[in-house]
Amino acid sequence: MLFSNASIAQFIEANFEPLWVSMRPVPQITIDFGNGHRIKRTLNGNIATWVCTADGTAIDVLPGSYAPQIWLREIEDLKTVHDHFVAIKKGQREEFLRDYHESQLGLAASRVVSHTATSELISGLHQDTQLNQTRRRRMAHQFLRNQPPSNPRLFTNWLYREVLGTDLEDPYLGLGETLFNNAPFLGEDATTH
Amino acid sequence: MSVKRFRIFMASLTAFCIACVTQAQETTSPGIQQAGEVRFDVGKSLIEAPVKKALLKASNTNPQDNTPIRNQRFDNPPSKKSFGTLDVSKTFIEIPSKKLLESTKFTAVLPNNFSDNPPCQPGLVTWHRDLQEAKAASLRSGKPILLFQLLGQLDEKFT
Repeated sequence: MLFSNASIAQFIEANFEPLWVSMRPVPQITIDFGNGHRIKRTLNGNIATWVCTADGTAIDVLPGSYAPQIWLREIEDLKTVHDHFVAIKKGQREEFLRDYHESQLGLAASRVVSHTATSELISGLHQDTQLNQTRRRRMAHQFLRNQPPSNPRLFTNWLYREVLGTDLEDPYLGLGETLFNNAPFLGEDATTH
Repeated sequence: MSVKRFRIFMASLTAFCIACVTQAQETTSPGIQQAGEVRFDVGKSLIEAPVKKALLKASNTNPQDNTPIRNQRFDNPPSKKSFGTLDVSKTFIEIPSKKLLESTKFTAVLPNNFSDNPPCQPGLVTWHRDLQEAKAASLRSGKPILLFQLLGQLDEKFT
Protein backbone atom coordinates (compact mmCIF):
# COMPACT_ATOMS: atom_id res chain seq x y z
CA MET A 1 0.00 0.00 0.00
CA LEU A 2 1.30 3.40 -1.04
CA PHE A 3 0.70 5.10 2.29
CA SER A 4 2.33 2.35 4.32
CA ASN A 5 5.65 3.33 2.83
CA ALA A 6 7.41 5.29 5.59
CA SER A 7 9.31 7.66 3.31
CA ILE A 8 6.19 8.46 1.27
CA ALA A 9 4.11 9.02 4.43
CA GLN A 10 6.81 11.30 5.78
CA PHE A 11 6.97 13.24 2.52
CA ILE A 12 3.19 13.68 2.43
CA GLU A 13 2.95 14.95 5.97
CA ALA A 14 5.86 17.34 5.46
CA ASN A 15 4.46 18.86 2.27
CA PHE A 16 0.68 18.41 2.18
CA GLU A 17 -2.51 18.46 4.19
CA PRO A 18 -3.72 14.96 3.38
CA LEU A 19 -7.36 13.93 3.10
CA TRP A 20 -8.91 10.73 1.78
CA VAL A 21 -12.47 10.49 0.52
CA SER A 22 -14.43 7.42 -0.48
CA MET A 23 -16.40 7.96 -3.67
CA ARG A 24 -18.52 4.85 -3.30
CA PRO A 25 -18.25 1.27 -1.97
CA VAL A 26 -16.08 -1.21 -3.81
CA PRO A 27 -17.34 -4.74 -4.55
CA GLN A 28 -15.43 -7.61 -3.01
CA ILE A 29 -15.16 -11.16 -4.26
CA THR A 30 -14.09 -14.30 -2.41
CA ILE A 31 -13.07 -17.42 -4.29
CA ASP A 32 -13.25 -20.56 -2.18
CA PHE A 33 -11.08 -23.27 -3.70
CA GLY A 34 -12.75 -25.90 -1.56
CA ASN A 35 -9.45 -27.18 -0.21
CA GLY A 36 -9.08 -24.69 2.60
CA HIS A 37 -7.64 -21.95 0.41
CA ARG A 38 -9.56 -18.78 -0.24
CA ILE A 39 -8.75 -15.62 -2.13
CA LYS A 40 -10.46 -12.37 -1.35
CA ARG A 41 -10.02 -9.22 -3.36
CA THR A 42 -11.80 -6.15 -4.62
CA LEU A 43 -13.15 -5.60 -8.12
CA ASN A 44 -13.28 -2.43 -10.19
CA GLY A 45 -11.49 -0.34 -7.58
CA ASN A 46 -9.79 2.84 -8.67
CA ILE A 47 -8.17 5.92 -7.23
CA ALA A 48 -7.32 9.51 -8.09
CA THR A 49 -4.96 11.89 -6.33
CA TRP A 50 -5.73 15.59 -6.54
CA VAL A 51 -3.57 18.49 -5.46
CA CYS A 52 -5.64 21.49 -4.38
CA THR A 53 -5.19 24.93 -2.90
CA ALA A 54 -6.43 25.94 0.54
CA ASP A 55 -9.73 27.13 -0.93
CA GLY A 56 -10.25 23.78 -2.64
CA THR A 57 -9.27 24.76 -6.20
CA ALA A 58 -7.98 21.75 -8.12
CA ILE A 59 -4.51 22.22 -9.55
CA ASP A 60 -4.06 18.83 -11.18
CA VAL A 61 -4.81 15.16 -10.76
CA LEU A 62 -2.99 11.86 -10.99
CA PRO A 63 -5.61 9.41 -12.26
CA GLY A 64 -5.35 5.74 -11.24
CA SER A 65 -2.67 3.65 -9.57
CA TYR A 66 0.99 4.54 -9.79
CA ALA A 67 4.23 2.90 -8.87
CA PRO A 68 5.24 4.60 -5.60
CA GLN A 69 8.40 6.27 -6.83
CA ILE A 70 6.70 7.67 -9.92
CA TRP A 71 3.73 8.83 -7.86
CA LEU A 72 6.08 10.56 -5.42
CA ARG A 73 7.94 12.33 -8.21
CA GLU A 74 4.73 13.53 -9.86
CA ILE A 75 3.23 14.72 -6.58
CA GLU A 76 6.38 16.66 -5.85
CA ASP A 77 6.05 18.36 -9.26
CA LEU A 78 2.42 19.22 -8.56
CA LYS A 79 3.39 20.84 -5.29
CA THR A 80 5.73 23.10 -7.24
CA VAL A 81 2.88 24.03 -9.60
CA HIS A 82 0.69 24.77 -6.58
CA ASP A 83 3.34 27.02 -5.07
CA HIS A 84 3.58 29.02 -8.31
CA PHE A 85 -0.21 29.21 -8.53
CA VAL A 86 -0.70 30.69 -5.07
CA ALA A 87 2.25 33.06 -5.52
CA ILE A 88 0.71 34.94 -8.44
CA LYS A 89 -2.14 37.44 -8.34
CA LYS A 90 -5.65 36.01 -8.17
CA GLY A 91 -6.63 37.65 -11.45
CA GLN A 92 -3.90 35.76 -13.29
CA ARG A 93 -4.49 32.35 -11.78
CA GLU A 94 -7.05 31.08 -14.28
CA GLU A 95 -4.74 31.89 -17.19
CA PHE A 96 -1.82 30.32 -15.37
CA LEU A 97 -3.71 27.10 -14.85
CA ARG A 98 -4.91 26.96 -18.47
CA ASP A 99 -1.36 27.52 -19.72
CA TYR A 100 -0.07 24.87 -17.37
CA HIS A 101 -2.50 22.20 -18.65
CA GLU A 102 -1.80 23.25 -22.22
CA SER A 103 1.93 22.82 -21.72
CA GLN A 104 1.45 19.42 -20.10
CA LEU A 105 -0.45 18.08 -23.10
CA GLY A 106 2.75 17.99 -25.07
CA LEU A 107 4.60 16.28 -22.26
CA ALA A 108 2.06 13.57 -21.55
CA ALA A 109 2.96 11.54 -24.61
CA SER A 110 6.61 11.53 -23.65
CA ARG A 111 6.02 10.40 -20.07
CA VAL A 112 7.23 6.89 -20.70
CA VAL A 113 8.10 5.12 -17.50
CA SER A 114 11.49 3.48 -17.46
CA HIS A 115 12.00 -0.05 -16.15
CA THR A 116 15.00 0.91 -14.11
CA ALA A 117 13.24 1.61 -10.86
CA THR A 118 12.20 -0.66 -8.04
CA SER A 119 10.71 -4.13 -8.13
CA GLU A 120 7.10 -3.01 -8.03
CA LEU A 121 7.44 -1.86 -11.62
CA ILE A 122 7.90 -5.45 -12.71
CA SER A 123 4.27 -6.20 -11.92
CA GLY A 124 1.12 -4.99 -13.63
CA LEU A 125 1.53 -1.76 -11.74
CA HIS A 126 4.07 -0.74 -14.36
CA GLN A 127 1.47 -1.02 -17.10
CA ASP A 128 -1.03 0.96 -15.05
CA THR A 129 1.51 3.67 -14.39
CA GLN A 130 2.38 3.85 -18.06
CA LEU A 131 -1.26 4.15 -19.06
CA ASN A 132 -1.99 6.73 -16.39
CA GLN A 133 1.03 8.85 -17.20
CA THR A 134 0.32 8.99 -20.88
CA ARG A 135 -3.25 8.55 -22.10
CA ARG A 136 -5.18 9.24 -18.89
CA ARG A 137 -3.22 12.27 -17.82
CA ARG A 138 -3.51 13.67 -21.31
CA MET A 139 -7.31 13.33 -21.11
CA ALA A 140 -7.29 15.07 -17.73
CA HIS A 141 -5.17 17.95 -18.99
CA GLN A 142 -7.41 18.41 -22.04
CA PHE A 143 -10.46 18.57 -19.83
CA LEU A 144 -9.03 20.80 -17.10
CA ARG A 145 -7.58 23.20 -19.66
CA ASN A 146 -11.11 24.08 -20.74
CA GLN A 147 -12.58 24.41 -17.25
CA PRO A 148 -12.50 27.43 -14.95
CA PRO A 149 -10.60 26.73 -11.71
CA SER A 150 -12.89 24.80 -9.45
CA ASN A 151 -13.31 22.19 -6.74
CA PRO A 152 -12.43 18.58 -7.69
CA ARG A 153 -15.95 17.58 -6.68
CA LEU A 154 -17.24 19.10 -9.92
CA PHE A 155 -14.77 17.08 -12.00
CA THR A 156 -14.87 13.78 -10.17
CA ASN A 157 -17.79 12.13 -11.96
CA TRP A 158 -16.29 13.01 -15.31
CA LEU A 159 -12.84 11.80 -14.30
CA TYR A 160 -14.07 8.44 -13.06
CA ARG A 161 -16.46 7.86 -15.95
CA GLU A 162 -14.40 9.11 -18.91
CA VAL A 163 -10.81 8.63 -17.80
CA LEU A 164 -10.95 5.72 -15.35
CA GLY A 165 -13.90 3.93 -16.95
CA THR A 166 -15.93 3.78 -13.73
CA ASP A 167 -19.40 5.27 -13.51
CA LEU A 168 -19.81 6.37 -9.89
CA GLU A 169 -23.60 6.36 -10.25
CA ASP A 170 -23.80 2.79 -11.49
CA PRO A 171 -25.93 0.86 -8.96
CA TYR A 172 -24.17 -2.39 -9.93
CA LEU A 173 -20.74 -0.90 -9.19
CA GLY A 174 -19.49 -1.74 -12.68
CA LEU A 175 -20.51 -5.41 -12.47
CA GLY A 176 -23.79 -5.19 -14.37
CA GLU A 177 -22.40 -6.49 -17.64
CA THR A 178 -20.63 -9.37 -15.94
CA LEU A 179 -23.66 -10.28 -13.87
CA PHE A 180 -26.38 -9.98 -16.47
CA ASN A 181 -25.00 -9.96 -20.02
CA ASN A 182 -21.76 -11.83 -19.90
CA ALA A 183 -22.40 -14.72 -17.52
CA PRO A 184 -20.11 -17.61 -18.52
CA PHE A 185 -22.93 -20.19 -18.62
CA LEU A 186 -25.69 -17.93 -19.85
CA GLY A 187 -26.27 -20.01 -23.00
CA GLU A 188 -26.41 -23.27 -21.06
CA ASP A 189 -28.84 -21.78 -18.54
CA ALA A 190 -31.12 -20.67 -21.35
CA THR A 191 -31.33 -24.20 -22.75
CA THR A 192 -32.30 -25.71 -19.42
CA HIS A 193 -35.28 -23.41 -18.81
CA MET B 1 -68.97 -65.45 25.51
CA SER B 2 -71.74 -66.15 27.95
CA VAL B 3 -74.65 -63.78 28.58
CA LYS B 4 -73.48 -63.18 32.15
CA ARG B 5 -69.98 -62.13 31.04
CA PHE B 6 -71.44 -59.89 28.34
CA ARG B 7 -73.62 -58.08 30.91
CA ILE B 8 -70.65 -57.57 33.21
CA PHE B 9 -68.62 -56.15 30.31
CA MET B 10 -71.39 -53.74 29.30
CA ALA B 11 -71.84 -52.56 32.88
CA SER B 12 -68.12 -51.87 33.20
CA LEU B 13 -68.10 -49.96 29.94
CA THR B 14 -71.04 -47.81 31.03
CA ALA B 15 -69.38 -47.03 34.36
CA PHE B 16 -66.17 -46.08 32.60
CA CYS B 17 -68.00 -43.69 30.28
CA ILE B 18 -69.82 -42.01 33.16
CA ALA B 19 -66.55 -41.55 35.01
CA CYS B 20 -64.95 -39.98 31.97
CA VAL B 21 -67.75 -37.48 31.44
CA THR B 22 -67.74 -36.53 35.11
CA GLN B 23 -64.00 -35.91 35.14
CA ALA B 24 -64.12 -33.86 31.98
CA GLN B 25 -66.85 -31.63 33.39
CA GLU B 26 -64.88 -31.11 36.58
CA THR B 27 -61.77 -30.01 34.72
CA THR B 28 -63.50 -27.60 32.36
CA SER B 29 -62.07 -24.08 32.89
CA PRO B 30 -64.16 -20.92 33.32
CA GLY B 31 -62.43 -19.46 30.22
CA ILE B 32 -63.69 -22.27 28.09
CA GLN B 33 -67.20 -21.95 29.47
CA GLN B 34 -67.23 -18.26 28.53
CA ALA B 35 -66.79 -19.21 24.93
CA GLY B 36 -70.27 -20.67 24.90
CA GLU B 37 -71.38 -24.24 24.33
CA VAL B 38 -68.43 -26.60 24.31
CA ARG B 39 -68.80 -30.12 23.00
CA PHE B 40 -66.47 -32.77 24.31
CA ASP B 41 -65.12 -35.80 22.66
CA VAL B 42 -64.86 -37.83 25.84
CA GLY B 43 -61.76 -39.82 25.05
CA LYS B 44 -59.99 -36.74 23.73
CA SER B 45 -60.92 -34.75 26.81
CA LEU B 46 -59.18 -37.24 29.03
CA ILE B 47 -55.94 -36.21 27.46
CA GLU B 48 -56.67 -32.58 26.63
CA ALA B 49 -58.29 -31.40 29.82
CA PRO B 50 -55.29 -31.87 32.14
CA VAL B 51 -53.04 -30.28 29.50
CA LYS B 52 -55.35 -27.31 29.15
CA LYS B 53 -55.46 -26.96 32.90
CA ALA B 54 -51.67 -26.89 33.08
CA LEU B 55 -51.36 -24.45 30.23
CA LEU B 56 -54.03 -22.18 31.63
CA LYS B 57 -52.10 -21.99 34.84
CA ALA B 58 -48.95 -21.13 32.91
CA SER B 59 -50.63 -18.47 30.78
CA ASN B 60 -52.08 -16.71 33.82
CA THR B 61 -48.65 -15.91 35.24
CA ASN B 62 -47.91 -12.26 35.75
CA PRO B 63 -45.56 -10.94 33.03
CA GLN B 64 -43.97 -8.60 35.57
CA ASP B 65 -42.53 -11.44 37.59
CA ASN B 66 -39.11 -12.91 36.98
CA THR B 67 -40.10 -14.98 34.03
CA PRO B 68 -37.31 -15.03 31.43
CA ILE B 69 -39.81 -14.68 28.61
CA ARG B 70 -39.74 -11.14 27.35
CA ASN B 71 -41.97 -10.52 24.42
CA GLN B 72 -43.84 -7.33 23.78
CA ARG B 73 -46.92 -9.13 22.51
CA PHE B 74 -47.32 -11.07 25.73
CA ASP B 75 -46.38 -8.28 28.06
CA ASN B 76 -49.63 -6.71 26.91
CA PRO B 77 -51.99 -9.69 26.60
CA PRO B 78 -55.22 -9.25 24.67
CA SER B 79 -58.27 -8.30 26.73
CA LYS B 80 -60.86 -10.90 27.63
CA LYS B 81 -63.25 -9.16 25.27
CA SER B 82 -61.03 -9.84 22.29
CA PHE B 83 -61.12 -13.54 23.10
CA GLY B 84 -64.67 -13.61 21.78
CA THR B 85 -63.35 -13.54 18.22
CA LEU B 86 -60.70 -16.18 18.79
CA ASP B 87 -60.81 -19.92 18.71
CA VAL B 88 -60.53 -20.15 22.47
CA SER B 89 -59.32 -23.70 22.84
CA LYS B 90 -56.70 -23.17 20.18
CA THR B 91 -55.51 -19.94 21.74
CA PHE B 92 -55.07 -21.45 25.18
CA ILE B 93 -52.83 -24.11 23.75
CA GLU B 94 -50.92 -21.99 21.24
CA ILE B 95 -50.08 -18.90 23.27
CA PRO B 96 -48.11 -20.62 26.04
CA SER B 97 -46.37 -22.74 23.43
CA LYS B 98 -45.40 -19.63 21.51
CA LYS B 99 -44.15 -18.02 24.68
CA LEU B 100 -42.02 -21.02 25.41
CA LEU B 101 -40.54 -21.06 21.92
CA GLU B 102 -39.99 -17.32 21.80
CA SER B 103 -37.61 -17.57 24.72
CA THR B 104 -35.47 -20.11 22.87
CA LYS B 105 -35.56 -18.39 19.48
CA PHE B 106 -32.11 -17.63 18.04
CA THR B 107 -31.73 -13.97 17.30
CA ALA B 108 -28.52 -13.00 15.54
CA VAL B 109 -27.85 -9.32 16.11
CA LEU B 110 -25.92 -7.74 13.25
CA PRO B 111 -25.24 -4.02 12.94
CA ASN B 112 -26.79 -2.25 9.97
CA ASN B 113 -23.41 -1.48 8.49
CA PHE B 114 -22.18 -5.05 8.87
CA SER B 115 -19.26 -5.91 6.63
CA ASP B 116 -16.70 -8.66 6.75
CA ASN B 117 -14.07 -6.19 5.62
CA PRO B 118 -11.93 -5.73 8.73
CA PRO B 119 -10.78 -2.23 9.67
CA CYS B 120 -7.11 -1.30 9.39
CA GLN B 121 -4.84 1.70 9.70
CA PRO B 122 -4.95 3.91 6.58
CA GLY B 123 -1.20 3.72 6.15
CA LEU B 124 1.30 5.75 8.14
CA VAL B 125 -0.17 9.09 7.12
CA THR B 126 -2.17 11.21 9.57
CA TRP B 127 -5.25 12.15 7.58
CA HIS B 128 -7.67 14.99 8.04
CA ARG B 129 -11.24 13.93 8.72
CA ASP B 130 -13.02 16.13 6.18
CA LEU B 131 -12.45 18.78 3.53
CA GLN B 132 -13.23 21.70 5.81
CA GLU B 133 -10.62 20.58 8.29
CA ALA B 134 -8.08 20.09 5.50
CA LYS B 135 -8.83 23.54 4.07
CA ALA B 136 -8.39 25.20 7.45
CA ALA B 137 -5.11 23.36 7.98
CA SER B 138 -3.94 24.30 4.49
CA LEU B 139 -4.74 27.94 5.13
CA ARG B 140 -2.66 27.86 8.31
CA SER B 141 0.31 25.88 6.98
CA GLY B 142 0.38 27.10 3.37
CA LYS B 143 0.69 23.50 2.22
CA PRO B 144 -1.52 22.23 -0.61
CA ILE B 145 -4.28 19.76 0.07
CA LEU B 146 -3.59 16.21 -1.09
CA LEU B 147 -7.03 14.81 -1.87
CA PHE B 148 -6.94 11.04 -2.29
CA GLN B 149 -10.17 9.72 -3.80
CA LEU B 150 -10.87 6.01 -3.82
CA LEU B 151 -13.59 3.42 -4.15
CA GLY B 152 -14.08 1.66 -0.84
CA GLN B 153 -12.61 2.78 2.45
CA LEU B 154 -8.94 3.45 3.03
CA ASP B 155 -9.28 2.29 6.63
CA GLU B 156 -10.56 -1.16 5.63
CA LYS B 157 -8.38 -4.09 4.67
CA PHE B 158 -9.87 -4.72 1.23
CA THR B 159 -10.11 -1.53 -0.76
